[in-house]
This record gives sequence, structure tokens and C-alpha cells, in this order.
Amino acid sequence: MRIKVKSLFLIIIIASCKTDYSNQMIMNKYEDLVTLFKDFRSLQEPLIMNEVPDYSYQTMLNQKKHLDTLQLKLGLIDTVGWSNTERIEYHLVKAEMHGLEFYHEVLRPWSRDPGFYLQTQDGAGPTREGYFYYDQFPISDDDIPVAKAKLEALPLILEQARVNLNNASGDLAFSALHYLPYEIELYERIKEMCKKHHQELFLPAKNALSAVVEYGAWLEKNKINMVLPAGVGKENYNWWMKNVQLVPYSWEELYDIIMREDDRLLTTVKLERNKNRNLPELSPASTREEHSKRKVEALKFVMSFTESESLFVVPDWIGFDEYLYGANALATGWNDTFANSYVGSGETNEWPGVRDFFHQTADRDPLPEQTHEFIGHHLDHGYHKRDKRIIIGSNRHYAIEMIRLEGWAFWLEEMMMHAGYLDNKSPRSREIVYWQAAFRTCRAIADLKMHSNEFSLQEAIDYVAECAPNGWNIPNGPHAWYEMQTNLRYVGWHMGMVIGKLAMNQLIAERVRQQGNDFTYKAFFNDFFSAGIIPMSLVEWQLTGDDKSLEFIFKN
Amino acid sequence: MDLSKIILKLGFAILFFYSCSEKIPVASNKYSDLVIIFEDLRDLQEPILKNGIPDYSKNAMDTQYSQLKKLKSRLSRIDSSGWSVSDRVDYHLVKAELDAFEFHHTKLKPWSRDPGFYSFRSGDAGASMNVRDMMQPLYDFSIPLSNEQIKQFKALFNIVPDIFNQAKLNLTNSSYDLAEFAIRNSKREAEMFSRIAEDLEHEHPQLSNSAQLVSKEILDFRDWIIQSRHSMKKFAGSGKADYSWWMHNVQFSPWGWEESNDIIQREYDRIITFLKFEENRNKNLPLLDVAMNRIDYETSLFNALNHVVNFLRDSEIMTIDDWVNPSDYSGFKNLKELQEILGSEKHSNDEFLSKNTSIDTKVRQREILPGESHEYIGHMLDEQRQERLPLSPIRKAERRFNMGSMRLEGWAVALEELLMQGGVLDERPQKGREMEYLMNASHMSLAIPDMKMHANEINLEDARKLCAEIMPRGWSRPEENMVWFEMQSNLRNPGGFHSNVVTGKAYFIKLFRERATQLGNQFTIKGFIDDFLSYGIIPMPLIRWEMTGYVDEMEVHWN
Repeated sequence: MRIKVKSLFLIIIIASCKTDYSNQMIMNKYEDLVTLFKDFRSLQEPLIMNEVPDYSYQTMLNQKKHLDTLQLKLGLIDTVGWSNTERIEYHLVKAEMHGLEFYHEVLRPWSRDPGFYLQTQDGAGPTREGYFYYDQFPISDDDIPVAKAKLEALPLILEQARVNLNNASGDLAFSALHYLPYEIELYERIKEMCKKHHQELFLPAKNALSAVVEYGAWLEKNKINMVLPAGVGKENYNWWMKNVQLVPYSWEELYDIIMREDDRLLTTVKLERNKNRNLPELSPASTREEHSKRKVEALKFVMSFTESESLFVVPDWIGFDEYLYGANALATGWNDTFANSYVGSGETNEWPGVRDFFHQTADRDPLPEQTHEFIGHHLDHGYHKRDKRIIIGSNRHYAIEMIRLEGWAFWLEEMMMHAGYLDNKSPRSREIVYWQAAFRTCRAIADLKMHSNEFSLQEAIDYVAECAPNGWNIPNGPHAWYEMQTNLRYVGWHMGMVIGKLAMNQLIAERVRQQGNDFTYKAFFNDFFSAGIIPMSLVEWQLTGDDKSLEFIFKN
Repeated sequence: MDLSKIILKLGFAILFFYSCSEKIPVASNKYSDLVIIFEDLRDLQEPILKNGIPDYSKNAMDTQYSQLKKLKSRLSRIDSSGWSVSDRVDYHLVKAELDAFEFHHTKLKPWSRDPGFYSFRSGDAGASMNVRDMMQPLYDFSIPLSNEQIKQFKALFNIVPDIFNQAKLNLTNSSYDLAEFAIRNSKREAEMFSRIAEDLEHEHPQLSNSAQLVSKEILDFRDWIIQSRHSMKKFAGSGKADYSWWMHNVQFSPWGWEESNDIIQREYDRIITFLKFEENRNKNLPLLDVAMNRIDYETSLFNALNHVVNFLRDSEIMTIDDWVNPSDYSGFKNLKELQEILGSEKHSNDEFLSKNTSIDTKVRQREILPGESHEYIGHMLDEQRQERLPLSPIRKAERRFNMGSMRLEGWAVALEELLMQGGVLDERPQKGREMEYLMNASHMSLAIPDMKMHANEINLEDARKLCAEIMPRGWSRPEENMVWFEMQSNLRNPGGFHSNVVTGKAYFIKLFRERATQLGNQFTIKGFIDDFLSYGIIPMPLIRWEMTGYVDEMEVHWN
């Protein structure tokens, strides 16, 4: 990261101005790290005045200065003699601090990304604080003052956005404009609901809606000046991967590794299809009832499978019903206007509506995708909620956990097949596994090429339509839009999914090497779940007890 | 201005100056000129004889190198731009062989670095002095010898002392690990000459004495190596830069050391993970039968080869030509014949396979198909096909300097796993799939030390230990012959060997994928594989160029 030099300079200035570090030179207790971590968490909280979060130049500069000080303090901590877990936590805090550093030096979403200020962008990238979260009307009397303040704040927030967005990227503006109609739709709904239930909120809601419309008009008018690239460039990508995600590979290596995985998947699926050539093709669920039935069966099956195969037992607390009636499970039908959770899931009463890629695969066999969502994400979420450790158990920031989360979930899809979860189904289901996996490598390549600025956002969207197996991705469709902007705004998201899967294999190979014939998946998964939601190289350190997985960091 | 621009400018200036001062010889654009250069190149690789002794002295090598440079200059004047892709591929084959030969003169210099260079045996990996023709009569003779044979034997025996005297002078830059191989091999080599001495003892006592003397001279040379070892260089690897150069320029691989290493490491991770899931999946299944005597082993081989050939034909994976006959490999026309020959007491011997066999045998004793598909479909048919294909003389010739290893091994090793994915094991005991993954893991257990030795991160001893450490089930041991032999193949080839096995498979899969994407619905596995095999045994990136027309990987060779 080129700017690194600048920040180093800043640290030197700060260090030279401060004189009271002599006491802190002997910070060597784990408690010192916990204190610092808590200070860091406070620093990450945005300044909010009257429900208006402050991302102004000066405020961000102050935050960065404080970060510099915290990083300096962290650098003074001596971890000699600490346990592995304590040292792992040290590196976790360090990586997260690097995350905020990167946000200030490179990503600067508050000044680069017009979508940062939109509520309907949530989930696809970093966004502002202070959303209007009320989706249940009427709002309780106790909450009315805050709801009012939030609605009144929106025009001020969007006013501030126009000042802050002095380095906006063309593609990020393009993306924000694509989603703006949904933002308008959201605030129109809020306005209508206020009119119906809370007259006192109607005017602020109406003004909020106008502010959104005006923000859109301003964006439309000024987008011509927003020309900076959206990709962070290879050099910054490498810095982010190394220092925040703790991944030991450069952009070039990642590209090669992912292409080889793509080669393997597409070759294997050809052989699989050749083997299955006399079997009927899978047909998608023809009714909503069938869709639901297949999905529930798949979920129940996978839980019994991991237990009967002595892999791991899904704990009772997982919350089967909670999952089933949540966002991921029983869809009523698919709709090509699917946008995001704020304006409805895009489901339609007509069956099947329009199927995007994962509707095509999961409607044929839901087991791989449901295993990903349920055993992959939902179980992870449950473990993390129950992790009470101050540092490891806290929520991760800057998507530092994405490779661990997505890698694990994605890895399950194919590995459970090798473990046998499709053995009693049509071999055609195996094709689904490979197609889903190949679509992930396809999205990962788009990620890499957007960040090297070889692809624009639109080119990436077109690319994934082209490389999606069977042409199952809707060209210029909602899935491609959502996921490609995720790549841009959470740097390396889909690349991380593939590299995370491969990191799972690496972790296992390391454990087998250590344990030889004593290795069992049961013990492995037990250790894996206990390690917590942290970057994969830290998971490896935790499991193997060997810090060589961070050698690439120590070397410098 | 960056350095490359300066160099470029300088280059132009030189070119300009050159064109003013000297007349550039006219470029040739005739393919026949390429063939002549190729023939001259092969001639140049024949040993230089001085008083009948192969001469690797500095003078001789300097002379050879200057002739090599002339050949290179002749080649550089050939303008192949208007040729067909097929002819241009031949051009690159010649160029790569020249480059590899040059690398031996400028960098590798095995005659001054590798005591094993002065070995009389053939069959070891890497470069050795060229006494092939002189050794030939020793491999196949019957007593009494003819006068002509006596003459040939004498001629060889007589030059041995001179060869070793020369070796001691030439070996100015030896490596410890290469010496280790030479020490190990020379003992067997001495034994070989002792056996010849025994064979000759009654009918040709004088010649027998000479053979015994040769054996002693070999052991004396061995002692000299042992004594000189302490002053030798610690590492014998090419180093990452030269390994990469070799892979790029001789094998045309797009992958240098770092990329190859990433491929091998990720493949290792994947195979171990798959193996462990397969074992878990099969945990309640009965153990596989273990073939412990010859008749069981050969019967399983016979059946497996016929099964795989039928499978390839019936599944439309590749064309099975009329000349394909698994009996060429198994050695038995049919099972009846096999049983008649091996059923007798003489051959039905439980000692045929000891319990302590190498990984290659261990897996074959349990599931023979993947390993022998590698050998038969992968290698033997490759060889038989090469004889039958209508190829140009350049392409028909055997590739030198291990140039074909990614293609040869990549294809053969890809078959092991891909045919399993394609269903070849579906009707056989499911636990056999574990054997495929174990074989695969064994390739990695050889490739990972290969990479680390060539990066000069570990020496031979550590490489052998590492190999055993990363092979699951403890199925390889640092001291076993297979491990020694394969580490030799790794270290004595400048681009390694087992790393090529793994990256070759990766390249084959890459090409498969690229062709499938290129042809879309027109792609068939059979069409692809038949096409792939029709280009002969040449580096796969050249096959890719001819097959797909893609030039992206070749452009680097044109600039």
C-alpha cells in the first residue's frame, strides 16, 4: 500500500510529540491487549449527533490519528511468554486495526462510495450508521422520538454525503444509481406507513423521501465527475489480503490458484456428466409445496448425516424452525426484481417466477445450497453467539471473517459429497455441486479482475453471466448485480470464498501431517468450531499450535 | 527511464550500427533448413571421442559450446513467421532443445558438478556421459563371445581408468547430494561388472580379469568421491530462478517455481482431504483383498487392463484403435494362458510380494487399476501410438532433456483420478478409491521435496525424510529404494521431475477446460482426448497452441 509510507510518517510525528510512552514501554500483559481492544472498539463507534453520523473530513482525520496512536501502542506490547490463543488474539486485533487503516487510506467508503449512504445497500458493503430500522408498523410509542429523529436526520446525512463524496468512484456511483429506485421505494413505503399510523412522522418521512430523490438527482448530475476507479488495484489488494485477511498470497498467485480450481471443477463435471449420460436430468421443483418439501427433507437429512457419519453433531440450539422461516429457507417463488431484504425478498406468489443461478441449482437439488446456508452459516452464527471470549467472541469488523465464514460454508458443499451425502441420490446431484462450485470460481475471477481494474462493474456483471454454468445466471440480473458490488465494496469477497475453501483443505492436510493415523474428522471439527470466527491462518495456528501459518507476516 | 527502455534503445542502436557495418546473412524460411539444423543438433550431442574416450574436458566442452552457438545463430536466421502452426511448433521444439543444451554448458555443467555423470549405467535420471553405444554389447551377450564382442568388451574395459582420471580433473564443482547418489549407484555398478566377470570366468578368463578390474576401479572412484565429499557444495538444486527458466523455456510451462509450488501444495491439501473423507465414508466396509502372490497379482492386472480398455471405449472417453492390445502389457493372451503359466507350483510363490513393499506396489496389491492405467494407457499406448502417428521427423524423435515430462507424466497421472471421476472404479470395491488417493498423495510426497530441493531449502536427506513424513499411512520410508530413486530423478533434472508430474496433470486439466469452453456444446471428451494424443509427445503448451490456436502462452517466446 503506497499510502503506508504516509501513515508511518504520521506515526513518527505522533510518537515524537508524545512523551509519556515510557510507562507503556513495558506493556506485556494480556490485560493490556484487552484494554487496547476495548479502546479500539470505542474508536470504531461513529460520532452521532442528533442521529446524524459524522463522516466529515475532519472527523475521519481525527479517527485516523487515534488509530495511529492505538497501533503504536499495540506495537509496544510484548507477547513473549503468552499462550498461543493470547498471541492469536493479538494478531487478530492487529489485523482489525489494519482493516480500519485500509478503510482510511484506500477504501474510504465515506468519500468514494455513494452507496455508503444508502440503506438498501446494506449487506453488500460497508455503509453508514444510523439506519431507520423500523419495518414493523405501528411503531411503539417509546420508539417514536427516535424514529422521528432518524427521519429528520436523513436530509442532513445526504447533504453531508455530497460534501464527503469528493473522491467518488465511477463504478460505485453507477452501482448506487442502480439501487436508488429501491431506496426510493423503501422511503415511499415508510411514508405511506407513517401516513397511516403516525401522522406526526408523516412530514419528516416525506422530507426524507424528497432527500433521497434529490440525492439521486445529484448523483445523476455529478456522476460524470466521478471517475476514480472502483477497484483498489493489485498493490492495495495484496496489502489487504496480507495484513487484514492474513492470506499469504498475492493477486497473481490468487488468480492462478483460482483458475486451477476452476479447471478442476469444469473438467470433473464433464466426466461426471459423461458418466451420468444415460440418467434423466434433474427437474426443478414444479410446485411451491414440492420446493418446501425437498428443502425440509434436505435440512433434516444433512443433520442426521453429519451425526451418523461421525463428523459432528448439530447442537439442539441451532434453531431449525428459526432458520426455516427466515430469509433463506422456504421461498414462495422467485422474482427477477429481487433486490434485498429491505424492499422484500423479491418473492412472488407465482411459481416459479424467474430463476437466477442458485434458484436453478437449488430447485433441482437443495441439499448442497442448504448445507451451505444452514450448516455453514447458521451453525457458525450460533457458535459465535455463544462465544463469550472478549476478543475472539466479539463481532468481527471489516469483513475480516468472510474467508473463514464463506470458505467453510462453500467447502461443505463439495466435501460432504466426498463424505457421501449424495450417495443415495441421483448421481446427477453431483453435477449440481460442481456447477455451484464453478460459479463461485467464476465470481472470484470477476472479483480479482475488478480490483485490478481490468473489469468495470458492468463487465464483471456480463462476465459472470457468460461463465455461469448452463447460462443459469440472469444476464444483468439481480444476483450478478448484488454479488459483483459485494466484490467491489467488500474487497475480495468472492475470491475469499474460494481461497477459504482451499484453506480448509490446507488446515486438514496440516492436521493429518501432525496426527497421522490418529486424525479423525470428529476431533477436527470439534477443534475447528472451538477456534472461533477468526481468519483461517489464525484458525490453523490455533489447531496446530504452530505459528508457521503466519510466517509470511513474521518474515517482514 | 527504466532499465528495460534503456536496454531497448541500446538494442536498437546496436542493431542500427550492426546493419551499417556488416551484411546480415539472408534469412531462411525453408522448413527443410530447420530439419538440417535439428539433425546437426543431434549430431552435436554425440560424445566427443579422444583416443576412443568420451571427452568432457574443458577444452572439449568449450569447442562443443562454440559449435552450439553457431547452430543457435543458424536457427535465429530462420524466419518461421509464414509457416503453419504445426511447422512452427517443430521450430520451437528445436529451439528449446538448443536452449536446454546451452543451459547444460552455461549453468548445469554436469561433467564438472555431478560425480554420477561418470556412470556406465543407463536408466538413471539426468545427464550422464554418453557411453550408450559402448555399453550396449554388455547388456545382451552369450558365452562364448564372438571375436567382435571380445573386441568391443576390451575397448570398453580399457578406457575405464582414463574416464575416471578425467572425471577427477573435471569435477571441480561437485555437490554433496549428487555425490550421495553416485556413491550409492556406483556400488551396484561395480557389482554389475563383477557379475559380468563371473559370467566370463571360464571361457574368457583374461577378459574376466579386466571386468573385475573395472569393478575395482569403480569402487576406487567411489572412494575418491567419499573422500572429496567434505569440500563439496551443500545444495544441488537449480535455485528458483533457474528452475523457473527451465520450466518456461524448455517445457514451455506458463508456471515458474512459485506457481508450480502453489499448484502442488493446493493439490496435496485437496488429496489429503479427499482421502480422509473417503476413508471415513468407507469405514464400515470390509478391507480390500491384498494380492500376495504372483498369480493373484497378474490376474488382477489382466482383468483391470481389459476393464479399463472396455471402459474407455464404451464410455466414449477415447478411441481404442485396432492395434490396442492389453496383452502387450500384461504378457498374457488370455486368462487361461495366465493360469496355465502361473498356476504351476514354480510360480505360485507367496514370497512374490513381500509385506514391506513400496507405496506403488502396496496400492496395486489392493486396487491395481489406477496405477496400471497410468502405466498402460498413459505410457505404453503413448509409446506405441508415437510409432504409428504420421509425424514429422522432428516430432517423431524422442524428446531430450526431459522436455516431454509434463506431457508424458501429466497425461498418465491425470488418468488415475479423472477415470475414477468418470466411473471406472464404480463396479469395483469402493475402498479401492482410497488407493487412488494414496497414489495421488504419493505423487505429492515426491513433488513437494522436489520443489524444496530445487529451491535449495532442504538437502537430500531432509527431502527423503519429508517424503516419508507427508505420505499417509507411513507407506513410504526415507531409506527405501523407491524414495532414493525418485529423489534422484528430482534432483538430477534441472526442472525437477515429480513436480512436473503434478503440474503436468494440472496443465492437462487446464487444457481440457479451455478446449471445453472454446467449443461449448461441440466439445466431447473423446474428441478432445483423441485430438490431444494426435500431436505426438511434445510439451502441452505447444499442443494447446496447435489445438486451440491460442497464442497467449507462446507470445513470450516470440519476443
